[in-house]
Amino acid sequence: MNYRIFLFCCFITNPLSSSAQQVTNDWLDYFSIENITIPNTIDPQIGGLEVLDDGRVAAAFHSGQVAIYSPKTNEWHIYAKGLHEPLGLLQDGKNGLLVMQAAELTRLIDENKDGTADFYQNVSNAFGISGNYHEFAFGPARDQKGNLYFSLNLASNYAGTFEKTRGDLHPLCLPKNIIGNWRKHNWKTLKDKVGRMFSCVPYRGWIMKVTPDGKTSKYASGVRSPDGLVIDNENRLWVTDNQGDWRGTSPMYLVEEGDFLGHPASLLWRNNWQTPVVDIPVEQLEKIRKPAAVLFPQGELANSPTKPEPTVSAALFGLPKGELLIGDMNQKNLIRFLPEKVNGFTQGALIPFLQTEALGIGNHRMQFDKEGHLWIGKTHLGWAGDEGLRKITWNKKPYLIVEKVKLTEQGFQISFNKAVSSLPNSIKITSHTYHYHSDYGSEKIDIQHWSPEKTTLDSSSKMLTINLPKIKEKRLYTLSLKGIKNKQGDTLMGDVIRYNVVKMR
Amino acid sequence: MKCKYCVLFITVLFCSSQSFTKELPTGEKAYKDNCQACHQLNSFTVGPSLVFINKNYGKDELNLFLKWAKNPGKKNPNTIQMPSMVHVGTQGLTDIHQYILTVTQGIKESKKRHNFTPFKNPKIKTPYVKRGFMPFSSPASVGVIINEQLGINWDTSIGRIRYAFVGNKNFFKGENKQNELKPFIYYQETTEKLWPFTQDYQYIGYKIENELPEFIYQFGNIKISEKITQGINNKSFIRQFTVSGVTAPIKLNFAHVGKAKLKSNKGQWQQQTLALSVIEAEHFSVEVIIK
Repeated sequence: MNYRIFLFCCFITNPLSSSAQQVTNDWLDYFSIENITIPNTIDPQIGGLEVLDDGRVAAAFHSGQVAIYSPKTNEWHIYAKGLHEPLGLLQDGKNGLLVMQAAELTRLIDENKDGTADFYQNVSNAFGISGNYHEFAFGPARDQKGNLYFSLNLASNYAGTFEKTRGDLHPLCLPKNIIGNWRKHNWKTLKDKVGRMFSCVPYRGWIMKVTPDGKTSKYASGVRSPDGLVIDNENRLWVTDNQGDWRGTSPMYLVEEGDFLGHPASLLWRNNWQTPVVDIPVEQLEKIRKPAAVLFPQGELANSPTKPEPTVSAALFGLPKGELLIGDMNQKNLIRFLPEKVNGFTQGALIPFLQTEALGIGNHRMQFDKEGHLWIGKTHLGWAGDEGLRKITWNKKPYLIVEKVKLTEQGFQISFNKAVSSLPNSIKITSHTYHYHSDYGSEKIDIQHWSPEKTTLDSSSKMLTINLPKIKEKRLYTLSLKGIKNKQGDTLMGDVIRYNVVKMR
Repeated sequence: MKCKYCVLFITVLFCSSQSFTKELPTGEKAYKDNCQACHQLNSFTVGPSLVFINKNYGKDELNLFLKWAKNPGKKNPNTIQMPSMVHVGTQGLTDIHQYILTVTQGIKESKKRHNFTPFKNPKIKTPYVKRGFMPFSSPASVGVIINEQLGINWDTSIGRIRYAFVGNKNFFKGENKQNELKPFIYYQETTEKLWPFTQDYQYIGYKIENELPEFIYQFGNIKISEKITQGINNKSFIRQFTVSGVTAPIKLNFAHVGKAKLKSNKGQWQQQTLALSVIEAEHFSVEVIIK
């Protein structure tokens, strides 16, 4: 008797949960994701991507080629070959294509106009490279004056250097006969002397600047694995970096000349630097480091953020212009950054975008074309990721998003692009911070839960004001808003807002 | 507890909480957020499978699992270092461990190794030029593979050829087992400086014609182009030099090891040094014939 009741119960619809189980929109209601086939002679791991002025898409691949795809004819054409780990592409007007190789920023020029590069011109090789496997180079980005910027990954102490480096070893590094011959020594016991990630040749861990007349100089220090470098529409230079030693969680910085962005290894290359990296007191580093504009919580939003891409006009893709769209290697989503200036410091909100299985991971390089398609190049190398080229298209069906997030004196003001039907069903707010230490990564520390004192919707129903008992600086706020729909019943696409409060009003 | 309605009550609760929501159990969500990118259920991808992890960190080994996850060592030289998962927290990691124990029940390790078919670089037709990490050279080197018998290492850090090697041997693995490649090096130019100039060296780039390079570099105002082509046979190569800005006679130091004959179309050989007048230095070529 009881057994039959048990079976019966499992088939009834629980009336309480069916009202909570409403139809929600899916990202694929608004976007299509197309895979572009790459010739099987090319390793489909994409290090650099650039939509050319003529609408063709140039990609730099792990196997060393730059190939150009014609969307009109669905054909690929090899433009250059034999490149060494190219991790960025930038069109250089009619002069050719700039590509960042491991050891050189190169201009690929087609002098005889036969459609392939015949001059591989050195634009900058004025930096050290030691042969350590982790010394990648990223960029370039170009500012409004034509200056180029590229960034140099640190070395990893799982290995030493080549015997022959480009650039002399810093005197505060281990001596050449040890680090250059590391396989013959007991490297396991020696490696701690250089630090987990190190900078033994010039200027690993720095962002470099190249002027239009070809002069290279140090621009900013303190990066670790600065994979994503971009100049936005306001001529601001941004760099993403990766969780690791001295990086509790992955950050993004607005970079200005002379900045120190937190990782101490690169400090060796400051003029007259005398202290070995492992001996620098944390208090000294805290005094000189610039805070990150945003932080990506590890495991939730991004584990290895990649290159940011400025958004195009809302008519083309549905997102406001003036944001940055950022990729990640590990999570199946992109991330929107909505910047605002508070007391002179640019900070803002991070909101997930296109969070769907169909996107996949490994989203390394992205760019919009003139029609508003978003091209995404994927990679993995020895880490988590994916491969190939995708084309994301908006079907022009309007979607509901958070359009603006403003930090107020009492909390947050969140604006939507359409009038919403009601307050959210639930609002969960937490804040936390991270350790700044030489250890690899940090758990969330000092997690605080907050209940709003007041939540109101304005008369247009487009602005939600959330007042908290207190707002504290130097904390990452996570606001999770559930159940928001517009008057047409469309669900809010991207309902978790993460705002790193560096400065308060 | 004797209660004839209790089964009914408990069952309704069970159905409403489990069957009709999309919430994942805590351990599964934490696994998906933090581990899934590198650890799949039953095959090695970036890191070992959950089946493997369960075998090594079973029910009674939670503490070992936590210790590893917070501070991973390195057991497998053939894959990347696992980053610390300390940010997940002890409870989160314990939930993940529990999830692993549950989800791997009855599952066996699959034979398939990789998520991606590892890309096999097709054999490249010679001649070709390729930058990369090469042995016995700086990390800023260019390999010029002239044919299956003959390859050349040109180091952009010092602006010269370092050595010639067997063309179809893989010389692009940096210093990895470089001593095993020594027998395949025919010829090595042993001085750091080929040219006598003291002005600063600057590497300009290379041009490509018929898949072979012409290196361009300068010492102060002295501009040099060095075009590399195959010589008289499969084991010989010619360097055609064009030099501008020379104002006095020069001597080039071709000191080398390895059995080779060096010929030039201009100038005078003095042992392994080539002396050239100002006019001769404008255009000349040197051939190296490996014996």
